[in-house]
Amino acid sequence: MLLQLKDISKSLGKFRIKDISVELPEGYIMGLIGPNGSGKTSLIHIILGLYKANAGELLIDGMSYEDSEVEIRNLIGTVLLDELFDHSATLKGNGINYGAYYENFSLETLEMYMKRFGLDGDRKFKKLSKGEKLKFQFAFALSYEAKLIILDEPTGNFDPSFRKEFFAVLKEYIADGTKSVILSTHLTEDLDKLADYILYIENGSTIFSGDIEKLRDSYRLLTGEKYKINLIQSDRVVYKEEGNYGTKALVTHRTRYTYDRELTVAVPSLEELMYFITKRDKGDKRR
Amino acid sequence: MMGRVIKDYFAAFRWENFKEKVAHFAYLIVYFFTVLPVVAGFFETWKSALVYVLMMIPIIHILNSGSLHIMKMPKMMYMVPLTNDMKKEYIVKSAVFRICFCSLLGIICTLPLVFIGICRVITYVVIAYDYVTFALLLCGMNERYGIEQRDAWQETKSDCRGLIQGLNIFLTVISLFGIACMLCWDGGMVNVYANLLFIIPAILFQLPLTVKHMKYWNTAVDKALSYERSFDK
Repeated sequence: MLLQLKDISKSLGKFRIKDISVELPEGYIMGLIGPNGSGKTSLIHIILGLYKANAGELLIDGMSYEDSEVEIRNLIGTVLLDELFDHSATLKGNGINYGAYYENFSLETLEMYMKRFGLDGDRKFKKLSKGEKLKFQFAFALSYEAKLIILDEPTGNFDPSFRKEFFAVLKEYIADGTKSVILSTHLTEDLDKLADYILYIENGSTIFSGDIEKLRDSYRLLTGEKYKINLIQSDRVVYKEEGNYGTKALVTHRTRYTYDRELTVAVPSLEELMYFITKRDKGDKRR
Repeated sequence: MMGRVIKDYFAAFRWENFKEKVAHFAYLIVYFFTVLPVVAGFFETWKSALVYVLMMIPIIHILNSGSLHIMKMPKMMYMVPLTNDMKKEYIVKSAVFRICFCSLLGIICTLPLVFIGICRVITYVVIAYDYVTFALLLCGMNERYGIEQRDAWQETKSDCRGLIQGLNIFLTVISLFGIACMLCWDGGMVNVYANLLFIIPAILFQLPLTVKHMKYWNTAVDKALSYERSFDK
């Protein structure tokens, strides 16, 4: 197991990450989703060892930061919204400076990815746009054979053409089955196609953690007449919303459950799941 | 490691950094280099002007350095594979380097005052001591001088670190500025009593306060080792 979080808790002022547990095996992509302020970035900081958890256990490739910080950091690649590199140095200079700390750093690999992402190694870091800075972080993370790449909301800053390239690189990266990716994003339609696992957090707590197919199989999105939806057991309704042309409801699902033929039953997308669950948790439950 | 420390020190002197981190006390630079010397008559003779400028350049440099460099690592250094000991080495060496560099600049800038005969050796020793103290107080901190310091002082009210530091900075600036005035106005501090006026407070007040301040050194290094405590208040 490449990543194991067990009952991780952390107080950050008034905000608290509560008992988050998740496991990510090698060769998979895990989407980290949740509304703004749900604790995604804080959780990523904990996984990166930048924040120390108050309770719980964090293991990366079976090692803990307490015992094997250097080994773990050699395994982790990061793409964060923070500007991590030296502004006055060139991209190549930054690569050489910081790459020197990594056991498996390869300047050739970095240059190859920079070329692929359309980055000029002789440009100064400060001259790059936000998206280009993230591309460089990504190229750097790929240059030292990191086993786990953690990306914090990078896709929103990428242009549509690079987003395709980015997803292709992620797929190539995990293809050998030894590496994994954690991708935090608001653009859940990307994860619908890409992610194998989902960790959905809200207010610092886990809403769902596990296989994306299992998540989809656990819910159904119903559309139809209000009275038909009202016939469904109320404890199965996560949230329902009345519109001009009928009612939409997210309900929990089991294989044995059947639905009225007049209702439209669909597998919800991640975006729809997030929307309805967030609405419910805001206390906006309309039953 | 030392190469990296030196490179990072000079890399911080960038225009964007000045705009962001130094601009808040730009009025002090303008005041000390234009308004005050003109009003006080320091620029009336070339000799007094030279003395004043030579004494002020290191002070301004220390103020700059205290704002540009603080006791924490660049963000990327928290990500790279370094042991805690290696990180500590980087943090301590960075702090020691900037304190030494700032002090040395002060010592070198004011050395000509001894050779042109307007400053006694004992006065020069007090000046050098003041520069070292000033550099130690401003460049060995976790917070940027003047920007983040107020918040930090609020946090550490109970252990008096802010009070000790503030009082010592005040005494050091008064001492340096007093010596500059006497050197400029009187053409030299040859009077023994005038020298005592600066030596006695340096021994009785500044030194104990500096020693007390140094007791927070390890706490500052520990804070700098933690990304969480350095970047997320």
